[in-house]
Amino acid sequence: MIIFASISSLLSGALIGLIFGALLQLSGVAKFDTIVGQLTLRDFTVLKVIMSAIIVGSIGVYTLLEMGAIDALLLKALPSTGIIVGGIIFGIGMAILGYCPGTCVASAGQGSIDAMYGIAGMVFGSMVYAYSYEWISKAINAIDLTSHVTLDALLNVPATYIVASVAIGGIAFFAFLEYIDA
Amino acid sequence: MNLHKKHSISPYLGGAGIGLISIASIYFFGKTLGTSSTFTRIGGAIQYVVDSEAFSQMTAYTKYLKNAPLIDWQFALVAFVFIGSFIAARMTQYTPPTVPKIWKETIGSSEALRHAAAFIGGIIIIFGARIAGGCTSGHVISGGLQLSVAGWLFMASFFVSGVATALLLYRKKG
Repeated sequence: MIIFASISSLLSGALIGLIFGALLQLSGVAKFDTIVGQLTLRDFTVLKVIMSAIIVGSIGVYTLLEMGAIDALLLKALPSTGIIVGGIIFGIGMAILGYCPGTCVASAGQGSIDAMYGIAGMVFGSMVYAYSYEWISKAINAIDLTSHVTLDALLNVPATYIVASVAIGGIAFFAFLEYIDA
Repeated sequence: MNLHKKHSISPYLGGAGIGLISIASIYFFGKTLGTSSTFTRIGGAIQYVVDSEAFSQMTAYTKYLKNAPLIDWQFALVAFVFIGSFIAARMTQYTPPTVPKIWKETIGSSEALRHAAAFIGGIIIIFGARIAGGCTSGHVISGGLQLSVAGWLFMASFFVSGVATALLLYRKKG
């Protein structure tokens, strides 16, 4: 087994991770109460963070694409059945754990003991998954609706309109949330 | 910086920051944010130590570890999410509760029960992440901001089941 990637790879990953972890903690999403608060629809901090990331990120990435600064997107190619089934299971797990994998690691970093048990569960779970992998992947439908497809291609509308709609819709949603003080 | 009981910085600002590092990550390093495959790598490393014969037969692991390193970009990212959060918590003097407030109000004060649930929840969530091929960082943020159908579909799926499960599980006592 190859153990280490290049130093530059590790350093750049570490830098991004460091900032990511700090932002998650400071935004308050590395907390069970924030995440379950979102899932019980009492606290919309999680959605605010996710949507803000998507709005800023999509404007940035699509601008870079337009400018030719990046050649292509880095999309995952996956069967839609796997995404839906996986997503449903993920949601159940997230409600019980009270974190997603990233926020779980961040929560452990800020000292939450339950998040440390969560990390142990995720490592153990990945080993159980690896044992079941053959029959699970066979069971997952091979119809691939989502490989390298983006919303603009799917709806046959220029990406600019989608990016603008997401931003406008998102900001309107934020205004509504602030109005109802969620 | 607005110091609020719930969060040290505005979630809009935090999210925007995450959007910015996602852009930087794609532009400078050709990489997207993600975390869940790192857990598969860790599992693989453990499996390798325990039984390397079995390991070499397990596609779930060899897919990631046959020709690529164990401690890679994402591994470093995940490790430093821990450190970044640690530093931020120390700097804002945040200490987490022993049992989360919502859990205490709806299920009980037993730390052991909370820890057991977290362990089990961890198993379930990683199953979901591996079947879907990503998690909130990989699918929702990285996929979402690239307008990937996979990302948005995943977000819709987990949100519906997550809300349903949470509303069922966390109901105020009495």
